[in-house]
Amino acid sequence: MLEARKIGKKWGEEWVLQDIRFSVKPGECLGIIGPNGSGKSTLLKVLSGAEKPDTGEVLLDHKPIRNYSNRKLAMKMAVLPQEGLQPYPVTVYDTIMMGRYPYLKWYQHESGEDRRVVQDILEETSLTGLAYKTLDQLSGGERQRVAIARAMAQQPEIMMLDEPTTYLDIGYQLSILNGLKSWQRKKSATLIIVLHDLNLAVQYCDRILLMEKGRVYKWGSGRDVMDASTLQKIYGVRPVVIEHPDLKVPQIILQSGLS
Amino acid sequence: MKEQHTTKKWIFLGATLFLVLLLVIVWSVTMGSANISYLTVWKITIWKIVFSRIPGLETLFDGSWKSFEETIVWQVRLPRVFLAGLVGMALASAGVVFQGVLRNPLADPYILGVSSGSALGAALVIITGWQNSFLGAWTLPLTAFVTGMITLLIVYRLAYVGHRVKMETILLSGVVVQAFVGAALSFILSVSDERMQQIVYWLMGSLALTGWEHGWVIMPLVLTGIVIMWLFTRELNILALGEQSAYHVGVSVDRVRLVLLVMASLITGAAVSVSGTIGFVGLVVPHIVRLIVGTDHRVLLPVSALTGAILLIAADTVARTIMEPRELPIGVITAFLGAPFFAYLLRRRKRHYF
Repeated sequence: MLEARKIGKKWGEEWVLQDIRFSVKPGECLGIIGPNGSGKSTLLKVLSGAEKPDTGEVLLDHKPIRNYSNRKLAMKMAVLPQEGLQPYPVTVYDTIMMGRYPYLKWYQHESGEDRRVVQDILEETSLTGLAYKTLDQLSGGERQRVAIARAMAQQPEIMMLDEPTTYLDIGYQLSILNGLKSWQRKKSATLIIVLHDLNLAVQYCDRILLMEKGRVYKWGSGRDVMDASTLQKIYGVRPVVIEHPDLKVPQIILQSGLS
Repeated sequence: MKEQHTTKKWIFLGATLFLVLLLVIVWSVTMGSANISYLTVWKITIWKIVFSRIPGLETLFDGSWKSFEETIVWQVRLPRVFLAGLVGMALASAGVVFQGVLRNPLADPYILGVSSGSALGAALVIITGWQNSFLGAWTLPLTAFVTGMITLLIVYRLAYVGHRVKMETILLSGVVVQAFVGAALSFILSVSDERMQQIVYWLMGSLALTGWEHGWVIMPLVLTGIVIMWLFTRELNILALGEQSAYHVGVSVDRVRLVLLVMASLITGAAVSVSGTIGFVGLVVPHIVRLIVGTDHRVLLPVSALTGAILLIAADTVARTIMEPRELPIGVITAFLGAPFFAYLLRRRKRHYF
């Protein structure tokens, strides 16, 4: 369904992505991890069509992504860029309704169907109580929830998120990821998430793409990637890898190196 | 339920604004150095608009006014109100769009250099004494319009870096081009001794062009521009939350922005070409209206257009009557009203945006 074919991307003279190849199956959750500057965000921009690759191409349902119009693409794919939503005085309800934009022709008004979709999402994401608050009255975490709700209103097959949990406390991190997962299961949609936190990535994602210097270092299960020597090579620290007592997935514990 | 409630509210607000507009027009047409009674003014207006156009009816009306009264009302005051309304409408709606697209609450219709470009063109026409040359009375407004558009093109060209126009770059290139054009203007002023007064007067803005034709010519431009901008207000609402995220809900960001900026500049150019540079209307009106109706551009744009018309007709009436028989430049009035109001807004602003 989504396939990256030998993607390369240059900023100026420098190659920031090289020879990226992988594919994502419907219903799968792919976590993209890697050190700062390894090209995670750029990769997401290319995958979502916001940036054009200099070599190779991205295929969505066997069709090059550049052949989709903006609206057609927005119906298939919702993307949360890192910048998030501006704290602008517009209500949560109206913001989520913007997710219906790709379905509306320029002369059309929002229909009862659109309102129903938004209403359902408000309930699913427990935002009903905030529906008539404006974005500038919300906290960063609440705004992020609204951004995700708006993405859900696009009824996409794929949702891509660039570090959706950065700057949030652990309670919020889990509630956002749990919300995304249950939405994904219900709709059998595809999730592609850039994450900084390796432990969360392994807990929530079926497959992990580990990036290094613009290339795919490893693409496989959590067990393939969460390996002390691999992590030492990529991040330059040697963590302790243990198994999560309940989830039976590998987790890492950092050690300071002081003793 | 909520929906219906808001629809009713907007209809009520629209009706109120139309009523206020009508009252301001009545007041403006009645005020003036020639002492003509309310009744006469309105008899003339209604006769002119309705009865004189229907054959057989013109004799039914009591035509007991003097011909100079008819000239003043029909040839001087009404066309001026008409022009003021159009210019106010144009500047206020362009202001809404510039503030929305550039996501900058301090943006106004003049920010992309349209007005300085127009002013330079006008100054050139005045200093060369070509006011009534090749295009007759149209030379000044048309030159102003064309030079304004050329300036906009230069600003765009400068801001166009690597296939796209970035908002920060466009604001900066606007500043750069304005600085240059401003210098050219100052140079012209400094060598133009006896015509200086006239140029300065034009720069401060004035609606003293008489006759109906200027209004008739800019009206289609202004109205078409506002309608086209209004068709893009849904996109404008989405753009306000960030360009990247707007792109991902399916908005063709570059195209929408281009259409909106060109339309807003076009109606600004149209307004500047007949009235000179009237400041603060495009900056302050959207802010006042936002305080009342909120930030939904679908409502904000039309309400600002009406409010702009009301405000400018009122300001022009004050400008021509407060120091009778002298007439003040209208730009002075709008700045006297606008600047303190804006300072007040800046001080009391609690919200992050606008």
